[in-house]
Amino acid sequence: MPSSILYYVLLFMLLFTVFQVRTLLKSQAYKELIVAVVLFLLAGLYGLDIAFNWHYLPNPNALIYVLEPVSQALETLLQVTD
Amino acid sequence: MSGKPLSSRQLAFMVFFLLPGSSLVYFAGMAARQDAWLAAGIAVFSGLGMLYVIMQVHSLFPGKNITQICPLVLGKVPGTILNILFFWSLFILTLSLIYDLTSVLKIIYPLFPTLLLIALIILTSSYCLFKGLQSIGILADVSIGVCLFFILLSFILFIPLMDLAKLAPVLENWKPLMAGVIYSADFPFNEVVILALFLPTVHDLASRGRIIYYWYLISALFLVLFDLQLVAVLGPGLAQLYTFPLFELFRLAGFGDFQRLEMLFFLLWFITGLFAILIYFQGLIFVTRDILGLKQDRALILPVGLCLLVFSYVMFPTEIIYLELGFKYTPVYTFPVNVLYPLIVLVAALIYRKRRSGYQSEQEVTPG
Repeated sequence: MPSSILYYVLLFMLLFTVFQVRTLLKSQAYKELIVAVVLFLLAGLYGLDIAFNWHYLPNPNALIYVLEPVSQALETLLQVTD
Repeated sequence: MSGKPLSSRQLAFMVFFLLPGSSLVYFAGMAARQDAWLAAGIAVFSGLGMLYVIMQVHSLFPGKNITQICPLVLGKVPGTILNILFFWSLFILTLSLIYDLTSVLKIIYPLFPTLLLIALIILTSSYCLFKGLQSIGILADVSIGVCLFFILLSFILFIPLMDLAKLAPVLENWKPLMAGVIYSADFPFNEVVILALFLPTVHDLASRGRIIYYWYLISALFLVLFDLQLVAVLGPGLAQLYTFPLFELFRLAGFGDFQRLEMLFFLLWFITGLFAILIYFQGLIFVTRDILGLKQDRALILPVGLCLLVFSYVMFPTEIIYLELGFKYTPVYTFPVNVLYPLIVLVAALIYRKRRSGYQSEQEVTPG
């Protein structure tokens, strides 16, 4: 299943190309176009990482797991049961 | 309408959808066990306070949203850092909302691949966002009656199943109650902080802004009553054990020969869940636009949508990871950010206003 993510990446890129690129070029919104391309690249790279099981890119969950000690301390303090 | 597409009434309806839409899987105040309804009832005031704070911020700078006000009053660098922290909070919450709705859809379409369901949700939301805020407002106008009907129907259906003895003992221990208050204040009540991004798009806020408070309170009341019924029907143990306690509740509901009514309520789940995603998706686009200093936001709909699709798979690949991250670790980040961010901006905005008025009066006293 992970490889199918590439089809969705391509679908979104295709939709953007068909419905947005021309309008953006016409209105000379180059900054918006660059931001969109960067976001597509980011999503595309993560898509490839998932599809081919490379695991090269960092998982953003690491930013949430940093909070584990705080969360555990809070749960102990407030006697939260699972 | 002077380029402001929403009315106060439409935004109020959106607030109404936001709260139950965020509680599809999780029921508010779960950590407080049998006192969950009490915890949710107390946490309502946290959301009400947030609503008041963002309204005050907006009244100081009408026409600007909170992510535009933040760098203005705090300075560019600290303001942008705070905006990025707020963006990350919204991003995690949006992914959680997408995961919740996908889980609900998985019950109905168990053989559909998860990615396809996520893609369908995001493409549907993208289409609505492309149509503009006015269309979302009209959708809210159209959907409110249906949702109210189903919510009231569900209350009536659950009454015969309730066993109030399951609510006892009340206030057994204050610590889990406190945990329930904190967790339910974070999710869903403090989620109203997202409205700080939508207030500049409302054209009659000054004259009819109060209606937003009323609909927030109605929605919060429904959530508290849902909690009460959930515990009174299932008991605190089962309510915590089930992945979809609300779904189990709907499964038990029925009258006479009319049983298995849960599919009837699917419409309610889908509408509220989709609205919550729509609001957060649009909010993310607003924040991205303001952080990067872009003029148009329509160009961001599909790229941000694709990022949501990919990262929902990267960050929440299994239910265990989602439950661990979403309910244990994420509130530790989102709660302080969603509370402190508008408060810091409000204090800074008040100081900024005071200094400016002081400077202006000084100029008037000593002309030339």
